[in-house]
Amino acid sequence: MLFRYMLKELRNGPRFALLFILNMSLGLLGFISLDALKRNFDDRLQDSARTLLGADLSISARRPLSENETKIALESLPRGTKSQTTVSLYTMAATGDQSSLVELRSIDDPYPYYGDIILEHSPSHRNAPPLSTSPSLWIAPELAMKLSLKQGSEVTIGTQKFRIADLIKEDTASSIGAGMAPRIYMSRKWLESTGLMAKGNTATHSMLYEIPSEASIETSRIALKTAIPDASIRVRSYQESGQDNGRMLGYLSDYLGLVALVAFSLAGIGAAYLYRDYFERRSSSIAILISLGLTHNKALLLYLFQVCFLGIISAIISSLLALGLIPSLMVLLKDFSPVSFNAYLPWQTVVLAIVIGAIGSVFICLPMLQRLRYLKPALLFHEQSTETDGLKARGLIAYIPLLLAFYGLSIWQAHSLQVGSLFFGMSVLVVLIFAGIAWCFLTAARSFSRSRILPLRLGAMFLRAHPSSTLSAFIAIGLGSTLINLIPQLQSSLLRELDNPAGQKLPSFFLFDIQEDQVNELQQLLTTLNSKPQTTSPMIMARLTRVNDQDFSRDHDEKSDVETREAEREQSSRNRGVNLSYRSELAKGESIDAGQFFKGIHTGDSPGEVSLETNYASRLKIKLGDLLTFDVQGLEVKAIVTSLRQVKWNTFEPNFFIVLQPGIIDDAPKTFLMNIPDLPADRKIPTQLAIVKAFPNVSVIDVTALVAKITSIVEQMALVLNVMAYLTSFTGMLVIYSIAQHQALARRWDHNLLKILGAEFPVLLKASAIEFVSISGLASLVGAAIGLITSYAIAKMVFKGVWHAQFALPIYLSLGLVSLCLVTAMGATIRILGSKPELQIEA
Amino acid sequence: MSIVSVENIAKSFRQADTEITVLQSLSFAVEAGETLAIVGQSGSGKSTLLSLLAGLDQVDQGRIVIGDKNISSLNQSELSRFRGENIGIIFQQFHLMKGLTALENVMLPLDIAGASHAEEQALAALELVGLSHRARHLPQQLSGGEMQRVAIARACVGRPRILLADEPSGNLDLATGTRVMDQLFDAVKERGMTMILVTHDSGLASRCHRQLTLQTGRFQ
Repeated sequence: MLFRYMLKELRNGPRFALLFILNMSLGLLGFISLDALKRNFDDRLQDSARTLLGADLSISARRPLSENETKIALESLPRGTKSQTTVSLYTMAATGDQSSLVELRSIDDPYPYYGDIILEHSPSHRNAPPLSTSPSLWIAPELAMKLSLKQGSEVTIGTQKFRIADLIKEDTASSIGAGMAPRIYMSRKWLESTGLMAKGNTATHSMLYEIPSEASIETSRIALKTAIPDASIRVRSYQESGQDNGRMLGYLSDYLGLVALVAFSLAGIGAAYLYRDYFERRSSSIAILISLGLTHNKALLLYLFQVCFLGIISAIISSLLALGLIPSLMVLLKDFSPVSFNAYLPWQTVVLAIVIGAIGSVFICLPMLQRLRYLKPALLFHEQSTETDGLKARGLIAYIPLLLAFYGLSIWQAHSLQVGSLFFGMSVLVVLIFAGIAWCFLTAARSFSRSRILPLRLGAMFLRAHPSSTLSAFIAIGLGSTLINLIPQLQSSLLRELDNPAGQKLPSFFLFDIQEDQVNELQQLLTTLNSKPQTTSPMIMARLTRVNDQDFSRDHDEKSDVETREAEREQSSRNRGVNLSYRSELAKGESIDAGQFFKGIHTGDSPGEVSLETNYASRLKIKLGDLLTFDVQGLEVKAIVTSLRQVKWNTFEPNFFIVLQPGIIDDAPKTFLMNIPDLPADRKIPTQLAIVKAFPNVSVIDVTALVAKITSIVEQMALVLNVMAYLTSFTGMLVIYSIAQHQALARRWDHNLLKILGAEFPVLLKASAIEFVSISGLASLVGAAIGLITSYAIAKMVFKGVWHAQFALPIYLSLGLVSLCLVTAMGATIRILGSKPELQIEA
Repeated sequence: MSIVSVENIAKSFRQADTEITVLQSLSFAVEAGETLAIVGQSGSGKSTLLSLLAGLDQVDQGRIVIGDKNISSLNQSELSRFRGENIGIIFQQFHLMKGLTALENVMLPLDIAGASHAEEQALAALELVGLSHRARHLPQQLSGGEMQRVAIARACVGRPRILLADEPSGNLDLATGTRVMDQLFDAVKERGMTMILVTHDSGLASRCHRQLTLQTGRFQ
């Protein structure tokens, strides 16, 4: 019966139930859609991970693997394991008058163990003539288009001419990381003949393993890691490879998750407001039930159940709505995923939505519901004792679960304690700022209470008479405004920074794999081409072996599935060889964060000085004064950290995480990096071609083309974030609508009394308009200002870049928000004002 | 034999910094089957006394014994159960649940107590106040008199030993009030209940076996 009563109560207050469900459904929509996408993506990745790696396990290094290493590795794996070698590197492909950077993958038969390369003239590369029979290539269609190549065309790689055997139609091993240049396949048999494998080049040498089906991949992975303690050799299982490929989408979905959390919070504000009003109206019913013998605890349970019920219905409706949103998000996110999505809603997502909907609703309503336990049914006799301070304190305590849940959700969505905590702290701070300004606004409204203009006086009276509604509306509009202002401002700064880092012109080309003996000749060539390098930097491959004489090799206990982004980055930084450089001065775009840059050239046997990039040092937990030991191609080198640097990576200058003092490793075998300043458009192609022809082993990145690609990715990301931001704003609008509806209804007595007392319809309408325009106008402007300030802080602190604000945008957005609020609120008010006052009073 | 025994009770409220004493050193007893009217001016503490008797509020001092139970020593849950089993309340404002029909309103106390055959008992209670034909109507479809009769039926349906009525005719016109009160007294008599009634109406008070007059928290 009580359950029936609960349902009946909801049926009798359909406006509350409907608006509550609508608020929560929209609030959950972003969450559900993202969760569905993530699960969908993880499932697909799990299915495709083997084909992405092409093997069960792999080891790879930025140097050739020694015979001993490959032997030890194979011996550590189960009997019957098959192995093969691949070498990947970035290099140039040239035709008669054109050239392009390519990702070259040289393979052995039968590559890959899993997956397929579908060719235009062959359904599988396994049926095609092998690449080892003659110098031939399979190339990606983008390269064919760029260099006007077709089957049978000739192309030069390094110093060797190759024939195009076929074009790749679909490559199951293509990943997001391969996006910098089109891929080509070559037999490893021909790699030496290209002359690209000079010492110090940036090739990645890999061994791929196929483990017998009965053996455990995880056990084999651990055995392999134990057998090869060298941290510069990367051991990966196919699952880890999948995770690597999904990282970009992971980062993006982290931020999308946080935007979705803002939408959920806004919906929470709306739902809390609605519930507050509902609960206050129900308090006499609850008192009646208690006077009839229902215990306080049972009454609490009844209303908790009611809230849960609403949350569950919201989650179900939201799941249905998500079915519509997921396909659109999939289209927007497809460029960030190495695998294709399927549009479906996993049952786990629905369960999660129901749990979040039910528990979230309870937490949101708990501050109200806890009052039920102290409800005095004596109010039915029109006599009430005043609330004690203890009750107020308990009221505040009831917000703790809500705050903890919000904090937990922030960390969960960000996958980062740091980012989640920052987001939580910022959100609480912003809400407090809005609440503070709203309080000042209410105080200021008092001064209009004696205005001679009647609508203004009444508007001020309405504002003050319902402070909680004013506060809720103010925060909801303000947060929505902050968000829709922040994203375009960040996008604008980021794009400006990419095009024009720190106000400098971007270089035209970035060159790498330059051999030591080629530097002077290359500079001479550039002089004949009327150009000269902006920067020439040496690069030496090494391994960081010890920190303060403690081993810094791979952590054998490392998990294959790290839980936070920080742990992920730390593990990835640790398990990698390092590139060292040396110079006596800071590069452009570098600045010292701590310590001092090098004091002259190092002499003597004592450890020299080393400078580290600040974030890199922080990830590896290295600080000023630490003693680092490097293995530079067999030679032990020690250096003390004397400075930490900020590096502007987007200047496309040769930048390094680790820079040593000159005089320490100057004699080590090295290659060089170079950048060529901005060239007129008509000189770019001839310059690139001249370099490629004279130095076939040198790789040339067209910075302009790369920036254009990054720009399009940023724009795509901004579009996805904007979709989520508009969803958030729409939720904010619904919150405003809910509040406006309830305000109008709650005020029908005021309005009708005023009408009976002679106030005219236009006066009351103007008073309501004044109320909503002032709330939405001020909240929108404050939101826009906070959005601008936050975008400034992020541009300066996170991107270390130039802040490029669009000042007209906040004005347009604020005007749009005010108009929307006004239309919404007026719609609700006119309906109430249009009814006959005496009927309303009778009702 | 006393069914209600009020022994030296006191109650005060705190408003801002001021302590307002509503009832002080109040003692009285009510016999089983007796009807008692408590009269007094507004603010004399009548309704407070009624909420203390109903266990809806706690005394600051003294004790209230109903039957053999000292209700001042019961906790909230025990009080709720005790109230459900022993006390029926009629309010001046009727306090019917808006979304429930007359029948559902009357069934509520039985449903809360988990009683069986709730519908039959509720219909019988509505019959008692002459409203069985309005059983399926919502409160807003009933007149003031009818709403109060539904409230009487709801108070009587669980056959409580004690009926507490707060200005039961206060919201009704004279004629309707008289008719409804006739039905109330008939129901009390028929079901052998004890009734404590708070009223301003001297005519209504005179229909009770006994009257007590409250003035500033004390009996005159």
